[in-house]
Amino acid sequence: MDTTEKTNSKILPNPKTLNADSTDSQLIELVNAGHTNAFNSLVLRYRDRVFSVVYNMTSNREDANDVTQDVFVKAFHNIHRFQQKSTFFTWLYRIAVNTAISFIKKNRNRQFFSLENFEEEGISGKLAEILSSRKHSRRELLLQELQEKLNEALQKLSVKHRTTVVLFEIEGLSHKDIGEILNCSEGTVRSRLHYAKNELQNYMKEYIRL
Amino acid sequence: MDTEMKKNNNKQENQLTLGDLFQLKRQEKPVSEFWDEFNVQLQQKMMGSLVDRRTPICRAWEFTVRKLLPISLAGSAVAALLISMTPFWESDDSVSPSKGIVEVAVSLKSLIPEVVLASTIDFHEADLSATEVASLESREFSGMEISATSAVNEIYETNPLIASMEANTGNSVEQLF
Repeated sequence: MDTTEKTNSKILPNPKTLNADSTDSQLIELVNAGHTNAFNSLVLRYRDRVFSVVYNMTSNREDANDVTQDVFVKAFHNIHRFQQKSTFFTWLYRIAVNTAISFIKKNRNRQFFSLENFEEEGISGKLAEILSSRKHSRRELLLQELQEKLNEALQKLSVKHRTTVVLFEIEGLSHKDIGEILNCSEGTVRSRLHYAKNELQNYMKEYIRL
Repeated sequence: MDTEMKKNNNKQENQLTLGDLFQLKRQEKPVSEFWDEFNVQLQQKMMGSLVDRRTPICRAWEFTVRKLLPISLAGSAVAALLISMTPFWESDDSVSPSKGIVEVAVSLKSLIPEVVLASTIDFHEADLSATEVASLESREFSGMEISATSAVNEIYETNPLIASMEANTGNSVEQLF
């Protein structure tokens, strides 16, 4: 008992020296030691990505707001159970995906409510070409139309397929990470991706080159 | 023809790939003010959840009282209502004329002993000597006609299913079962 306490006190970082470079493990140890402010740093670090996953799964920004908050509340109360066998972000994503799935199952008849803001500087390639060739007002209309159609198409996929596509294509996670989050093999992830992309191509055939 | 081909080519050139659409999806971001409100709401939720740290037993009890109890009460009420309505359904069946007559006839047949001679009739208040016994049988009805000695204009309360045997003579009382 004494040894553990001594070891902990040696490892525990100083909460006053918390900064952007503090690792997830350091922040988690501080949270577990009762420094709840350290959790705010974790929220700041991951809120965009958690929100993005939940938003792309629900296609409703208000729901995504609520669910993301719930995800962080759950993570805060269960952080002592996190055993660092996987990365913190994988663990957090798993909570996010599970919370979003149970939300979707409970609220099947909700409406889509897309985000209004695009970061156009991040858009490149063909889409950027098409957008630059249009006037501002027409460009906005096209973006809005594409966004709505894509959200609709995503919602037509089953929750499992949607989640896999969102995690791989939008969040950029690896097959291995997705398998860990969804508790399935990499092969399953690949096959779900293949099926989901075929379905999406089918739903979006008016807009895309096959 | 050329114009159509050009149109098709233009259309193809303008068409996007699924990758382009995913790229678009990656650029969907909430406005910066969104996060200020998000932080305030999150802090409130976290504070609320810290205050509401009840034991699982308390939560289970609350769940039982709030959700299961009303459901079970409603279920019991419906069950009680159904049970209380059952006799009405049954009586509805017995009202059907043909059935009722048949049932009565059967019960009488089974209850009435084979009477050849009646000696007395049990009228509760007085045992009267039977003078004549006749058996009535039809498809729907089975009964006995018993004559017994009685005082003139006397009203007797009868027990219709009890009669004993052996005959006698005298004034008569008729009882139809």
